[in-house]
Amino acid sequence: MRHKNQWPQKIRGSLRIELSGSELTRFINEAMAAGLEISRIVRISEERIRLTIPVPDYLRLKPLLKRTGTRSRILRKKGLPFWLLRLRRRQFFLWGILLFFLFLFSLTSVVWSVEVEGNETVPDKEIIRLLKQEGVFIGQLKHRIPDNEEVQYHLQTKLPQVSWVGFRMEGTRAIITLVEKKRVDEREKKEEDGPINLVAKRGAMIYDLRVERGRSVVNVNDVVKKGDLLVSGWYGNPETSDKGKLVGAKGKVFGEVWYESNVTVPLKQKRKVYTGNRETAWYPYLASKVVRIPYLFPESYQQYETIQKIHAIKIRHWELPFGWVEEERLEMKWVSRKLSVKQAVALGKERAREDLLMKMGDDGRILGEKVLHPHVDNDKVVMKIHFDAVENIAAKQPIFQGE
Amino acid sequence: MRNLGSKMKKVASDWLDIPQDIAANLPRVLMIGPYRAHIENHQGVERFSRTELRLKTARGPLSVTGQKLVIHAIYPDEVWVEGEITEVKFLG
Repeated sequence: MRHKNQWPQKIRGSLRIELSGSELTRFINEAMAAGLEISRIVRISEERIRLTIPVPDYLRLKPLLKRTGTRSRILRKKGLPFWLLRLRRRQFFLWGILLFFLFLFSLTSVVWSVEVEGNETVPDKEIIRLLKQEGVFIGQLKHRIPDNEEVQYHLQTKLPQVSWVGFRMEGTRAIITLVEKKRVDEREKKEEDGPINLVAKRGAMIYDLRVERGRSVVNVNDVVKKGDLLVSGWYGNPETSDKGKLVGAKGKVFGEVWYESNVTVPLKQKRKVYTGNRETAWYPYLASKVVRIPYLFPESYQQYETIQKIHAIKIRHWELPFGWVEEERLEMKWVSRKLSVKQAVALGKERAREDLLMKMGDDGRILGEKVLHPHVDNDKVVMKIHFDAVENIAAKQPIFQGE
Repeated sequence: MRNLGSKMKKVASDWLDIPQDIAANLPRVLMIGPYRAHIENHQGVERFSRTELRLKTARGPLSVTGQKLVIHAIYPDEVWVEGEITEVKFLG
């Protein structure tokens, strides 16, 4: 099977012709022998056939026709050369197309609107005025707009009350997005202003004092109870505390505290482990339902976890209710681990430490720990851990002035 | 004489295991359903109408009959016929 120049025929152009004569069979044989590309030969009647021939071969047909006494008549002209010829006859149409594209191009290369989003206090007008200075305004040619980064940078420097500026073009729209600086919350401010004393959050032994403002009433190694005054917001004589100068206390008081935690660690531990094998399956989804096609993507793992990613087909911003789902299957298996008592104790200690540090916050640290009577019970190690820790025990207590 | 030559060619091709269409220049017909037939190694058209295409071959005339026959393409060694083919037959 040969397909000689199937598609170039469209470019070269071909002719559908009707031949009439008495020796048409001989004509076919001779044309074939001469290497003419004749195709789609149909017999119309005893003395007439129709066939398709490329334009260059048509010119070579003449001597053959003469020899066999056949006459030809062109029925139809097909292909690019004829199409172009016809097009030349219909120039207005061509100009119309060109004009249309020119129009489309020129209209889309102009900024048609400027939109401002995200501003709360800065007026739109102000931003639009600033954008105009940068060369972004309605009617501006798109290619004359400077880089997004440049516009952003200039606006940022001109708008000190704004913490972030984003500028982008979406088609013929220029969109500017602002994020305004957050003002300090009124309530928060007040709290900061009000004078306070520092009192003990819990009973502890004072380990260290870091007083920025105020007068400390306790010393290192003093033992305090919960609610005891640690740092006074008044300067001056402690006996006549109300006479001194009110400044408000500020600082940190570190107290040594003791914590006890009960920890249980199972000796047998089961963990999930990914084997690293993965496979991907694709399913279509229609109206937010996944259409599972059986046998298309067989599941080759016994235990696996799936991650589904939904790709909805979008037309601009409009999400269509169908699309496809990419499902990734990660093979996994359970690995069980047996711990010795020593390991379990170490693990329990580690966990308890982390828990405690989390509970105490940034200022906390652990001085020492002691594991008390660990024992195995029912395949679990049960133990008590005693921590010796240091943390900020200062709590704020507002000072109420006046009677 | 010619007959003897073709017989010898057949014997030679059987013995040497060469396909006969190559050795003896015999026609080779490929049909796709009843809609299409490719005939290789033909030696020209003898008759062509809507219902019959008769080809000259080394083995004698080969007739393809059917309805609405169209020679889709023709080359010196191959013909491609389309239509509702009912029969492909060697005559004589």
